[in-house]
Amino acid sequence: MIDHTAVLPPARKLPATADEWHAWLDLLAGLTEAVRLKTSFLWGGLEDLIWQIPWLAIGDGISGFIFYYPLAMAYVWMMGAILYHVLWERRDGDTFDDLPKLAEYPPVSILVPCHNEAENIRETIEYLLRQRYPDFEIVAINDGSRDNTLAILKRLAEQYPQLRVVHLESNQGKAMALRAGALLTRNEFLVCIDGDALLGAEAIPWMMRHFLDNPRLGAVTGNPRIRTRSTLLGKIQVGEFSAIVGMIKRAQRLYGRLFTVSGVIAAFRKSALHSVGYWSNDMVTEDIDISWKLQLNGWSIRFEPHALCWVLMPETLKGLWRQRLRWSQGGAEVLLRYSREVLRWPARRMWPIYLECLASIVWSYLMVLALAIWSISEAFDLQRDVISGFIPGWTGTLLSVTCLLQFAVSLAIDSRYEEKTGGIGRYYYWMIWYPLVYWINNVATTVVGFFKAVSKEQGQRAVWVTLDRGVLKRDRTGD
Amino acid sequence: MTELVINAPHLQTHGQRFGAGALALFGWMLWCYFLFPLVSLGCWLWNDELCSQWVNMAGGYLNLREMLAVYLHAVAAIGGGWCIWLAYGTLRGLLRRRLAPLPPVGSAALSQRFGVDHDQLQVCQESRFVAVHYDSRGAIVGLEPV
Repeated sequence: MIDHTAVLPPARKLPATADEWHAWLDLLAGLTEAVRLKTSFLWGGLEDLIWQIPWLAIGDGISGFIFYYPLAMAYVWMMGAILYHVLWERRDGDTFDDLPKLAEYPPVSILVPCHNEAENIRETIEYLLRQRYPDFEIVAINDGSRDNTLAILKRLAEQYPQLRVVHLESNQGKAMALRAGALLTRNEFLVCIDGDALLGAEAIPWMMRHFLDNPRLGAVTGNPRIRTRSTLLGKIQVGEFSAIVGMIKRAQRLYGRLFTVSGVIAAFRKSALHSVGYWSNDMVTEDIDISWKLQLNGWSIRFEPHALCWVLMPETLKGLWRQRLRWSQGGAEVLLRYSREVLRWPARRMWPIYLECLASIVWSYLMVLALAIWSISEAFDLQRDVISGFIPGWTGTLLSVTCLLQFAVSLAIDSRYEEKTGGIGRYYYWMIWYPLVYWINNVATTVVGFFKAVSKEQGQRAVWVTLDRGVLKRDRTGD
Repeated sequence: MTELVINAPHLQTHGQRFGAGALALFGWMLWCYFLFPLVSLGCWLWNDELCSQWVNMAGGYLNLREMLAVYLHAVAAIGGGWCIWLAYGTLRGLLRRRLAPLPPVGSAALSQRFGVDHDQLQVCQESRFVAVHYDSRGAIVGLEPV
């Protein structure tokens, strides 16, 4: 071995003589050789390591995860929802006839943030005035609308003494509108709905009973019902909100933690909001964010299926894509922002919710990967028996039967809320499309949404997203 | 006022209506496709010569039994997990002491949090119409009761 240190030139000086140059070159050659030997050793080790990795087992594990994860979660949600229904929901009686009798009726402020809602706001406000609750005010927050929302609100305020109007001189986003509403009301309890939603007349007592029952309850989320049912997408969403959204919320309520309140209908205790700093204005989904903030700070959230809120949803693929992309990005933003806080021991009850959300994102990416590999292998595998390739195997059958069972169970649980609107059993037929239309859409939006959340600039303010609201385009202002 | 449920398929464009009709028809095919293995299994159980080819193509009866055994164990484990969690939750609820509610948020705390004048806030909280002015960073710079 050459002792290079023996011929080293003085430190930080360029070689001056030919001997010194030779010494430098020798040193360089020695180092190069040493690096080559080292890397060849490493590369050889890496190669051995690569060959030792059980790729087949990993492949089986990934395909098992892709297949069994949704299957297992379907049963987790289904059983949780059934237990919730049997233990709690069924005992509550009828939404309309068995309205809870409360020990007291504290004053409630209904916050309605709106941006360019001229078409819907009159209907929303007039529907709110039907509330079967003795003490409430309506605070409509016009967030710098460019249409005549403000003029309509002013006229309505002259007409109805329960209505107050807050006008934000410049457009600030939904979170900021809600913050302004919370600031300008005296009441401790806030019910927040969207400017195009119709709140069921019985919703407030159903939600308020939870606040009176539990002083550490920070929020109650209601039960959004789809109004727009003209197209296939609308019809599938009716089933989706029962089979997926409603079922998951029931199961999570049974577990004790919710992934999110529904931004379109949620009630809050102001002191809880105050303790966590109200809604964040830099998250694309302020509802997911506030749910996590509350729960990570020790507040509980409950789901109240009797608090109905009728909502307009997109009925075009473009609208659906934008809506789901926003939801996916919002979920990913929350995961990234609160990943450290979740690790704390006091936040341990959020771990399953966090892991489930994380697993969903991983599943979506693996699904895309698996679909790509499957497509390539199908394209080149010409020896395969074509007919047997199209017969769903037992695993496929199990998955589809589970899916159909999940839809049947959830629609059965949820049907009681739609008895007065003709029932929802007939939407079961359309649910057959759900795995194709929505799974594909949701997988794609999860993949893109996570990427958008990761690449989003820190502190970027969230803005209103205007989506299509069904095929019915007629003016509902009534003005 | 619009009806609660808006079911107006006639408002779709011709293209959308044609697409909806085609999808409705194709929906039946999907139902048949998903239920076909179950039907063929039923036929085979009833008469083992009938549909045996289809049952084999789907993976065979032995594979089905093996899969169902795993499946039932998994479902039982999930159900058991829920029951244990419910029992734990009930016990925890019984043992937990009831916490006192926090005092409601007053206007002083609100004015401090949002950086607005307390007196002005109190006036605005009683006003039927309030205009709110913001700076470029989203901080409230003015409350204007009308």
